[in-house]
Amino acid sequence: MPDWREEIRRRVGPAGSARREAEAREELAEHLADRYRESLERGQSEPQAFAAALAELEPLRRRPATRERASSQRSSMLEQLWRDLHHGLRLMRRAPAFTAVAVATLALAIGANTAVFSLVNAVLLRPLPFPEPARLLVVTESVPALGFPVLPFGVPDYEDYARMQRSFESLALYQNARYDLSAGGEAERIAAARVSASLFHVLRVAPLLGRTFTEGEDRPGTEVVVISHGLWQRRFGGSPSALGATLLLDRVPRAVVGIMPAGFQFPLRGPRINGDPAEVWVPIAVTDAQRARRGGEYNYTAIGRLRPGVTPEAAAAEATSIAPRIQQTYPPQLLQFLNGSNLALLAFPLRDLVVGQTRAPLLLLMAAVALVLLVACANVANLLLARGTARQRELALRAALGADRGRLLRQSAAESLALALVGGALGLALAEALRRAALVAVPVELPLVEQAGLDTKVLLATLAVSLGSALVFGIAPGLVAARGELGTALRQDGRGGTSRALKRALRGFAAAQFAGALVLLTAAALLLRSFAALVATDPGFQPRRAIALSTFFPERGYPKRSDILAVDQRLLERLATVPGVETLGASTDLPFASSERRALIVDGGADRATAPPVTTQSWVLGDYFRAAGIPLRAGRLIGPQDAEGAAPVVVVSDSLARRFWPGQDPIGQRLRWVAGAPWLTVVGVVGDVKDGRIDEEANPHTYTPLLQEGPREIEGSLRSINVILRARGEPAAVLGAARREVVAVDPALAVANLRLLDEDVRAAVAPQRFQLTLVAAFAVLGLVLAAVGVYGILAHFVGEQTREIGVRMALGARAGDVLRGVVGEGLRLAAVGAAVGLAASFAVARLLRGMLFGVGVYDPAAFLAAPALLALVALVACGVPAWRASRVDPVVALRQD
Amino acid sequence: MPDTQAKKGSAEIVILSLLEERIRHGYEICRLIDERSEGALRFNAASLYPTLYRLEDRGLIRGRWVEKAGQRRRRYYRITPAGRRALAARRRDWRDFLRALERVARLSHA
Repeated sequence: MPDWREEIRRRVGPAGSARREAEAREELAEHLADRYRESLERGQSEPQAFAAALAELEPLRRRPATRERASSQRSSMLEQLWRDLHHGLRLMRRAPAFTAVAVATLALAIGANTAVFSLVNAVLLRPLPFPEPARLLVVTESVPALGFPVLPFGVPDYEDYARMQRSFESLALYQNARYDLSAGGEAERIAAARVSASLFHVLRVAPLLGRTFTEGEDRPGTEVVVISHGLWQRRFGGSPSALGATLLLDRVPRAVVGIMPAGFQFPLRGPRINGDPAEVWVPIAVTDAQRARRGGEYNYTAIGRLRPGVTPEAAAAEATSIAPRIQQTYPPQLLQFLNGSNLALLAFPLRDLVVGQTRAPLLLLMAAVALVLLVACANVANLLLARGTARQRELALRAALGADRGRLLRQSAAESLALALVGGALGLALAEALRRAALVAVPVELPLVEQAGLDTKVLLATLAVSLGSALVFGIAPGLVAARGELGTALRQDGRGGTSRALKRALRGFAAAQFAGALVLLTAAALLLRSFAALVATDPGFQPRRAIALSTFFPERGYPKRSDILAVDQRLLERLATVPGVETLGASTDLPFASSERRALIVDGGADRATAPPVTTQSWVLGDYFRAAGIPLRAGRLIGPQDAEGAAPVVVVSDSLARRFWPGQDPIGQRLRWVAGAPWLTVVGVVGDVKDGRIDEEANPHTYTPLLQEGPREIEGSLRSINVILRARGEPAAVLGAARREVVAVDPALAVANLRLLDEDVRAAVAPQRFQLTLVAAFAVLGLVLAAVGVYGILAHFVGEQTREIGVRMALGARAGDVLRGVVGEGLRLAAVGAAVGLAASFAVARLLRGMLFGVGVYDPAAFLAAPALLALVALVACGVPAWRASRVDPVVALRQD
Repeated sequence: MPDTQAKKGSAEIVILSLLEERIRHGYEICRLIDERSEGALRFNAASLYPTLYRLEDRGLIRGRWVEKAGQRRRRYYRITPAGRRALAARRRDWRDFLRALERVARLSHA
């Protein structure tokens, strides 16, 4: 005869040591023994009889359980935990469908959380990739009253500041630049930075090979260069002989003196000014002319390392106190431009400069994905609860066998834990896949994303999220189980009944899922409306059928103004011969990327006091306005008659004309850059063009003929030119021919950014697209989870009430009544969830304020569409179980008993 | 509503009825339910004992270990006075419910 007590002990699982348990086991053992004996008497074989006896414990097991480790009565905590976890895993194996749904739900939610957190971690939490990064501060100038909350440093101001300050042990100045890199074959245009020799000392980064710059090299005429690890690999195949080799930058040979380590990035990507990671670094080599021209240019960023013990606040205060002393040295002409407002100096952490813009959008994503996790937890809690009713006989038996409530609670927790850990592990794999996908989709501006990965912090966060979610979704089912709610109603048909408290819990979780889903939906709807408004924004030019390319004419090869203008014109002539080109023109800056800001003097000095007399300035050549599709509003465009030596002219934008000559005819008005310079006569007004970000107002804009500009500007900053070609038909067909024509003009020229102009518009909305895509994906995920959740519990209720529904129908209820009843129940849940969710959405919407464009925070369309969609999905989710209920055949339903 | 009352009591009324006749042990109860319902109602150990323990907790039945000569000891259950009262009430509920069904659904003609 088998040892029945052992069989029971093994199958019923661990239980407490109450006296009742021993008795119950003995009684059960007697029962099984009786059953076994009777089966044998009926002529069954021993294995058959054994199986029949074990079938008495049927709801406890379906497949043979694996043998548990023998354990002493008093096992250690760790052993108990292990056994509980083991028990949990066994339960998971026993119900594969339930486990699959629960684990998939958790994996999706935890995976999405991990992926977003790895971005947040990389961008916001990880220290910047330099030693003691907290001591790195950025210093800039600022004239808020003139529309420059952050104004890059001018060289003379910087040198004064560097002399006066005591906060920093070292300071450096840098500026992004671009160079044509040529070596034999085609030239390529690469990102570079001109930096003070002290920069590497400030950052405390040593080169991988060679050296960085000496102070002595930081002067004009020293042709040295430090290169990035990437460029070293690409151009020199990682060979050490690169040291001492020569690179041609803008056709000037420079000796490679150092190679930076892999992963070194500077400037860090992100800031709008001087925020492009460089591939080569050259000495900034400030000239005496630059030192002498105070107010001539504001293009540089200063970075410093604080002295030990100096706080960032102290450095900021010192900078504030130095600003007036610098302003005192300004010549009267420059002071006139300050227009009574004051120059300020700002010192703030490098981190703020790099990631300041991205903090709010990233935190929004984190909040959205956390909400998805909460919805998922509510969903799994409901799955556990609903399944709990199916498992109630096991639990009741275990309770009867003397398992104490704490024990049941612990085992319930172990099951949740097992689910969460498996879900978390899968989620981690999913997160890695998501991260790779996200890195492709991430907008270029997002700084430091290269750092994103599964480091210890991310792994710990995932573990914490998994454990935390187990707590959230496991606690309610555990409590219900421990209170014995599940075991209060046993009946002969073996189907579970759901107690009132349990039903309340199920309904509560279902409503909570709807609430969470609605908040996500509303946020997504707001972002979608905002994105639609953004895409519908008129950028002020016509990107369709237009292509753009940039090229640069270096001093070697094109030393004089006449050389540059000649090649500019030759280039346009050649490009005009490309088949399919309707018209073409060139400008020193293109829409979305016009960085040249100038103060101007208006003849007659109109409204100096109210508006900052600052404009974005571009120099144009050829038929630029028609090629770019910028409309003429009044007067005429710049034409061939505005040649060198003709009367100097300017075309202004709509907003500039309205600002300076409101109610007057702008044509014939005059403006100039500095006192004493020749006046420029306004000959035309064109439409406003988004010169910076698409979600910001267009700045006032002036356009002058490049041909009328003097040698200092042209031989200085106007060596690069951007050409726009407007095609008659398919613009892509023009691309290849355009490149060939540039090379035909000069084989050594680098063609940069050859592209369809449409791409610029797409790039301008890329951050918003990224954010919208993610939030919308999370909203859909939340909605699907909520729909599955409410479907699940309604199906559960209906399944349970089959007999009751049958009786009601036998008593005369019609199918329609039953249908309405079930749908009504589901919609009540959705309504409660929606009410809570709507209230939360109003609060959340306010957090979105800074991220919305052209749409109110309480946009009625978004606040109507989101609940409507929710109601629709709820209706569908309720429909299936309701339809099933309405098809209950009373006779069949009643016969089930 | 009679229906939910009936649902709750259906397991208990069967057990209490069997114990009303005489004291019995668990296996016997199980077999009797099977026999008398001609297999329509089924209990096994997993479903029976929790119900027994709960009935005992509520004072409707009482179990005692009894040793008979030549046999191992068994636990026998007897119905208590409270149990008899509960059984009477259950029977009333069921009778009312079945009558209602008969009247409305004409079950006797089905």
